[in-house]
Amino acid sequence: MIRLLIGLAIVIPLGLDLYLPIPEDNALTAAKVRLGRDLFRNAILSRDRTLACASCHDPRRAFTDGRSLAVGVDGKVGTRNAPTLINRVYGRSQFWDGRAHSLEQQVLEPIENPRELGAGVDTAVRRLVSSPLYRLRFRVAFGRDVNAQDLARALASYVRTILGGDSPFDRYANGIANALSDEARSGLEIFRGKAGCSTCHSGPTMSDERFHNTSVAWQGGEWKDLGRFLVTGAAQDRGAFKTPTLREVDRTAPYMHDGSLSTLDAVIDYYDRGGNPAPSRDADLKPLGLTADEKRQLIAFLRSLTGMVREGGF
Amino acid sequence: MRAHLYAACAILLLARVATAQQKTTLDVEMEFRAAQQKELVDGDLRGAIEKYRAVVSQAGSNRAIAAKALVRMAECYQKQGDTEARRLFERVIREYPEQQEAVALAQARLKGSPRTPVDSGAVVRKVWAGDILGTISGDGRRLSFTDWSSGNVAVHDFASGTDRTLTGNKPGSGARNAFAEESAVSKDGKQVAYTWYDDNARRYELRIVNVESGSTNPPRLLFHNQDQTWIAPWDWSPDGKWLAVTASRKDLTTQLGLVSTVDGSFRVLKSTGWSGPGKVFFSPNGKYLAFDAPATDTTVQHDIFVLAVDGSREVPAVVHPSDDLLMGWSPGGTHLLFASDRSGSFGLWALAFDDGKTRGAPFLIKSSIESNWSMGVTRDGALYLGTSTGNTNVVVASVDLTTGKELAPSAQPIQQFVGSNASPDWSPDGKQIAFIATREPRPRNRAQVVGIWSRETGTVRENARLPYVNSVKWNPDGRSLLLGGKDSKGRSGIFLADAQSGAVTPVALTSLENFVGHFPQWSPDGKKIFYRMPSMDGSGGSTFIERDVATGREREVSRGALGRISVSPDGEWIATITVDSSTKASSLILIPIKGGDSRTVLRVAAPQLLGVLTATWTRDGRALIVNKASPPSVNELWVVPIDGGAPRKLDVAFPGRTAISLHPDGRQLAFNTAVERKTEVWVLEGVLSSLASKP
Repeated sequence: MIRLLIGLAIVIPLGLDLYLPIPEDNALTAAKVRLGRDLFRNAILSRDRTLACASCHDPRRAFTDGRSLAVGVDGKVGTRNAPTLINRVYGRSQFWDGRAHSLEQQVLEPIENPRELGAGVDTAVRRLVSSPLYRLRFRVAFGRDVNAQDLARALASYVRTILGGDSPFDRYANGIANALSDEARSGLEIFRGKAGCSTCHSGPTMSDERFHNTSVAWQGGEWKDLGRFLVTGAAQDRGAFKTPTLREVDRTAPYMHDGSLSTLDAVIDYYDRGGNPAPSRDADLKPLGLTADEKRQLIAFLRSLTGMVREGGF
Repeated sequence: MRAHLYAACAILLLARVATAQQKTTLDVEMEFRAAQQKELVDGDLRGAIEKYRAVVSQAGSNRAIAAKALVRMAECYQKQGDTEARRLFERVIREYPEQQEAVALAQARLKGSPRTPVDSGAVVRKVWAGDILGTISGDGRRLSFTDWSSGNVAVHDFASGTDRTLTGNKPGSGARNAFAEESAVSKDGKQVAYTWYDDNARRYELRIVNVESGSTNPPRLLFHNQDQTWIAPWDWSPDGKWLAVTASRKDLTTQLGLVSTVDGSFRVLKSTGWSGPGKVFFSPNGKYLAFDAPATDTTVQHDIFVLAVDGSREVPAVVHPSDDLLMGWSPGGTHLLFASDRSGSFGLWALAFDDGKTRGAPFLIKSSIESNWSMGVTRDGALYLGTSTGNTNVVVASVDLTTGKELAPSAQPIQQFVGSNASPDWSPDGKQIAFIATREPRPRNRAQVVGIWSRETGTVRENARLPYVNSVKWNPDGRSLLLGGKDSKGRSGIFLADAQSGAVTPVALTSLENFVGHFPQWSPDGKKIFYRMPSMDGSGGSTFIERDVATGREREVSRGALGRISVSPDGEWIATITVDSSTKASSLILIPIKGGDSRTVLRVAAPQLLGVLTATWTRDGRALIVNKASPPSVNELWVVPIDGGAPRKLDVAFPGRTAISLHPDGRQLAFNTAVERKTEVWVLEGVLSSLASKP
């Protein structure tokens, strides 16, 4: 674990890169992170003041909500599962379909989306302006009055401090041979070998940050969600979604972009049978022929990815 | 209805025009590449000038390539001492003002750069013939290297002209069970950090050894990690407390980091995809690491990045469509030095760097450079370069398989990419040869290209490109090629390349980190492929797999100590070479594809052996051509009838350790000469001293 000084003390858990990609125009500072942390938990950003970012990205649930699909204001059900926010600082793009190129771009969308917080960015800014405390805090953090860009910068700064690592797997990978049980070690071999999970789930974030059509969205002979295609318009992107991180995966059920698989067993069974038949399905999907023992070992390994999640810089 | 017909015709016409335009652009680019081949590989300046002239006349609206071709043409004239060069440089400046790089090059040639006159005062000389996986000390006296005859790490002392071995392998023992690979000598020349492979433990380690005390102070294990498959030191920090390293992980990602020389702790600064960073150098003040790496994990071209050693920031210093490879820092750290092919061939460029930021635009300081593999820059600005020259070429031998007599002298027909061509395979119509060309002069290959040589035109066109390819086979229909190799994620696998477009699609990926011996082969009807997989039962053997191309269904055909696959013309048998682990006897065996016992056709007792890459069927399927070797130097080709008839020797000089492809006429054998590479160390002096001052 390394304590890094970038305007504030950030503890980078074991297993993650020391270098945090942070945009030059939004340097990480303690004032921004603390402001973003409070905004993240404050219902002031939702239309009816009932929900906050943390409602769907609950720190107690590894920044997910335990639901298949996210639920917004007025009980409106969204179209996709709320993904964890762990280690998004390392992400190349945000959202399941990668439509946001930065966290600054990403964090404002839920405020605008009527199926999520739905207040609208303008309304949210007006509310913050009307708060003497927030006016002061924005001035401290940015040296100017509240505005939409700084709202995005503060929230993005906070999200960048949500870091997960220091798991038994990280300790094993860093030389502590007994950090993994025999069963989990066998599971790691399967993860990287027979099951080929590490083809996409690799590196410190356990994600290649690419988009794959795992055929989950192909149901009843049609695409229920076109995924990445909605961003690129490229035929091969139909039904493709970004590889999610597997860090804290035991705490982030249900799984897949639509939350359609409720347990890790269900996910492993899905991939073991090679997914569903679907057009332009990822070529890497094929029946795996895993035995019951191998599935159990694989799950033991996935549970070893539960470690320490830190947020707010400390 | 008629309106619809007109519309359809118009769309078709537009589509054809678009296709034609696209083809023209492609043709011009290929013509440009061919011109470069003439100039840079063949050394045919006159021929190159004509080809560049053709590019200019055909470029149309592609002004970028026209300007580049004019610059290259001018350079050809300049090399010939022809004053036409000046006129062409002036034309580029006058007629192509928007083509900034071409104009900058032309101006540099005409006037010299405002900072450093291009090529002026540059002295390049060869200083040593030896390994190039090490670095130079700050004073330029010591160079670390691996002695491949023993596997030891050593230093070459340029002052005394002597070598000092630093590890304990027996001289001449060969690099087999334990050996050094990459090494880096400390700035003060007193210590060497190096990669050490221990075959017993099957692991790579990072070690340090003291140069001065040698045997009295044995090497120190500094770091190893069970989750890493390889680690290499690239540079020492100026204070000697840290090593800049890259490490490959078992999940096929790469880590760029620092290892403490004091306590061996490892700090991962940045993780990347499989291909990872190339060269890494500390800035002279020790605050930054510069490195080159692929711009994305699907591209081959590298860009240059600078990372603060405390991880606080990264600067994308040189991001450009060309291939940009780090060469180091100027003395004083005022400039980044890099090799770039942006002017058509690799030249040495510099970019000012100050206070953690780049300043201005890169500028050329030497128009051509002997190598893009840097071994470091000394304190007085001498840049050490490692060159690696191949001597592997495709050979075609004509022989009567019945009499064994040579029909015509062997020839080396492929005259492009000379020295780097291997693994030839005749096309089904016998008019082309597909082969693998190693295009990367660096010791660690970043890209291999499948080339297709045309017998009718004598030309080569580039087909598919993968980070690694080790086998290529034509589909029986001649429309595609089956490749064994690795993809951009580092996964071993089998790939299909379109013979025309070169587009590559994976057929089967095995995710095996270090296995490259699949040797995939087609069935005669092109409906199935056969490939080799290491057995997962721990026996150390391998399994032959049959895969239905249409359904992807696979089944095991055979398992054991099996070599390369060769499918009989009738599709009934696989021939292969197997070696008995206890007696070391090697056998040519036939495995019935549909099931049943295999049978031995030929058995050779040790020390003789049969080359595992050979076993090529004759066209009638009645015999196999195999390599019978008597180590260390005798290699013969024999035709072995499968009906038990007497084997007969072929009157062909064969180098061994290469596969054979038989032409459809049953008389012409294609194979490659032995894989050899010659490495040398060169030094470039006299160009960096003017960069020492602040920009």
